[in-house]
Amino acid sequence: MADVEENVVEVHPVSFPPEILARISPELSLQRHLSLGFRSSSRGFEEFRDVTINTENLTDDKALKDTIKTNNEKQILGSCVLKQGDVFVITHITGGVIEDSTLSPDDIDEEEDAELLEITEENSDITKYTSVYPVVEVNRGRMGACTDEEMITSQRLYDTLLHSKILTKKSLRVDPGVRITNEDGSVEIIYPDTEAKKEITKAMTPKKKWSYVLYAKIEVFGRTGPVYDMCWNSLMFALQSVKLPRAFIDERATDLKMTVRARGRNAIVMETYNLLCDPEESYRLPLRDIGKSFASTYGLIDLDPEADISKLDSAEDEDESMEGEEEEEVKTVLLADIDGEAEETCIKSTISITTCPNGRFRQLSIVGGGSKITRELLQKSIALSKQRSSDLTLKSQQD
Amino acid sequence: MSTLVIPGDEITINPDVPVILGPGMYNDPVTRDILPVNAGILNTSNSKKGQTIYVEYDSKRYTPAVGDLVVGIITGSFADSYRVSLANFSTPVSLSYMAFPNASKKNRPTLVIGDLVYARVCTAEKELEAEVECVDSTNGSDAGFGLLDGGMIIEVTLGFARSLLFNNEFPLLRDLAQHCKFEIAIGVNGKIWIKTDEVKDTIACYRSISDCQGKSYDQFRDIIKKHFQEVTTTVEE
Amino acid sequence: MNVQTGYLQNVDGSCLYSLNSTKVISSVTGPIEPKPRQELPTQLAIEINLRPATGVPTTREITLQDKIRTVITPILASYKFPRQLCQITLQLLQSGETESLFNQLELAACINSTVFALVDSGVPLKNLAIATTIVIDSNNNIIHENITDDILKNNKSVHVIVYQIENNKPSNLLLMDSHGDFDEQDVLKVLEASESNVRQLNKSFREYIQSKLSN
Repeated sequence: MADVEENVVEVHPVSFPPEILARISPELSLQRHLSLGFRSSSRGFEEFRDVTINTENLTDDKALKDTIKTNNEKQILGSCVLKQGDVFVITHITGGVIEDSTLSPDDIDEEEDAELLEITEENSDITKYTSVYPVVEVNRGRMGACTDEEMITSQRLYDTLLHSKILTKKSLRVDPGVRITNEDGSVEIIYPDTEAKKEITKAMTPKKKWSYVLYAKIEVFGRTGPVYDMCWNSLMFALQSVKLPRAFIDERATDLKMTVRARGRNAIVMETYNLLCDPEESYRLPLRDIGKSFASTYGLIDLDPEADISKLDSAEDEDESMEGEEEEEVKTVLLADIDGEAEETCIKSTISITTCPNGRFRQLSIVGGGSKITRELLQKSIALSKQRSSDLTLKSQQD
Repeated sequence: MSTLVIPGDEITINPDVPVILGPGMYNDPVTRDILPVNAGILNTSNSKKGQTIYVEYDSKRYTPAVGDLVVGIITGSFADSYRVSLANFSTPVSLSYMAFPNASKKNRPTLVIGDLVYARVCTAEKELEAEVECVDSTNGSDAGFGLLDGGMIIEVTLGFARSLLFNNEFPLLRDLAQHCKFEIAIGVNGKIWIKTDEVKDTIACYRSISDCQGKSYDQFRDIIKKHFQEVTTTVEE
Repeated sequence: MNVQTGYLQNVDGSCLYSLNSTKVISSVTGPIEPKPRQELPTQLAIEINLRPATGVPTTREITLQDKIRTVITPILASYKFPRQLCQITLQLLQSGETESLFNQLELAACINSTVFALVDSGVPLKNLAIATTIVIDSNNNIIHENITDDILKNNKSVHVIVYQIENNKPSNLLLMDSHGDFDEQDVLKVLEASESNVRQLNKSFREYIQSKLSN
């Protein structure tokens, strides 16, 4: 026994500087910060990161004017650079033209009549709407296949955009003009919606129909936390800046038909249209105002009474006071705009809301893996999201 | 006292008596709630030590628990132990060379990869690799453990294996014994080893045991009879 | 709702689940030995694989897998099996909705099927989770049963709600995934309507387990 006592080693409590503690025990570090009333980023509980937005700078207007591009070459139609906290999100929207083979021209005429009626109503069949094809890339300084997070964010953006009914299929339809060579040798492009020379455009209306498709490439630099909100908001701003070029067909090609022999037997009539994009004429992408919305995310976390710094000293001596604390009601706090590794990994309950400035929602996702989501907290986050949405709307109007 | 419980149900516990939790029960490390984690029949019993609570449920995946009698397959051998598989794809357990009767540094057991052993689980901590032994460690005798030579393995559900092993009223083995002579080793990991003198009897036993799963007692006799008739009437070509 | 657990022979737990025209088979294997990169030092790791009714898995399936994971993770008693893996595989047999536009019916079916397969497999669960789909149509009616593809297409908003079932009652909200055009009042109405749906589903599942055990 005596031997043992002599060899007893005194154990000192190990202490770490805050930034190391945050790495090795994010949960404890977060709880300690919260008990002091602010977050590790020194923001308040319900404080958002500042957002700066810059649209149209990346739009390739100059290139558009210099050369006539065929629809195979992608060019930037709209863009947005969004900075939220330390994170940059760069979105550029490119497009392409596809032949709409699912509809014959007759169908479209009929459908358009019906559609006009329906669109005026608040809601209509989801199949009348379309979305853009987003690709989210979170840059982490290494190469490789896309991560789950990138795929999930892209898919969520696609779904939300589709269901917010902001883009009608009709708005992406290509209404091609005709390029004609006048008798005096001058070249002119006539569009169906101009009154002049209506008879020419009418006579040369192609039988086929085309649509634009929009792609959004969203790059995230310096990721510090969940990226969905930033990507959505950036996509929203970028979409509002999109200008679609007008397309036309050369008159020589409007009714060019060729007979192609496939395998010697059946002759197929091939029509070729040389659909070109106008370098000068473009129009804004028509978006339904009703769908414009902005996203924000909230986290819910239970405060751990044992990590409370203010009670730390007193609790050490008195076990009884500890027992008393356990009976206390668990206090749950709401954190706006989750950011940072600790908040991302420790907060299991989140609420993500995409809200229109008028207070209606386009998308809502609640994940309740951790703290219980009470009605009060839900209502609080809804109120905050409305505020945030109208703030961001103001911001977009200023630019 | 038998009631159906489903994960998350509340259990009435007498707070004054110590509680012993058996399989299917869980004490949540964070909330300190005692709750059932499997769906099955709740069993509670009171003894001098306290109240024992467990859930009787059937499953297919075996997780080692101390004292269980198991049938394992040798899947590897190391400097001082074998690696033994108790269930496909599960983490293997280890069987020390010293855990055999009359084992010494020089006297090594002669099992090879693919051999079957009947063994008992001696340690099972969730954080550590479980260990099994082929010796009764209280007196060093072989106690029926060790290599299972020849025969065939039947995979059954864990609940069925437990009934076969522990329920003395269970009529299957008695009914089977009326048709042929056999050696049997039942592991609670759902593996049953059976060996008979003739291949056709083995086949009949295999089919009978497999088919009797989930059937009522009075059907056993007919099932067994049917399978033995099948193998005797089939002519070898 | 039609449930058949123990449907597959060679896995630890399985469930064939169908509701209206959505049909899915789920299988659960575990706890088994994980690949080194999946291993969690203190908890049971889960791996979810979802196969669509037609074609190969796309980003849509990855998103569904992620949503299923957010529901399954909190109900597992995951500290009971550290450094182990639970593998969940889902195969849709019939989608019941236009896959390019919706995933709501599939998501609810996959979650319910997975939970029932987990119960069948004996993987320890702290409680159950039950999912349901709710549609608000253009006339602001709440539709909570017999949802078809046509109803979905004419939606004003669509919602998937998952409740945690504790002591035979819905307690916590585990997941709410809503799209479309709706407001605060709609959210509260949907939560209320879904709670009674979940109660109903829970009751029929309990009866199913009871009849299965008494055999």
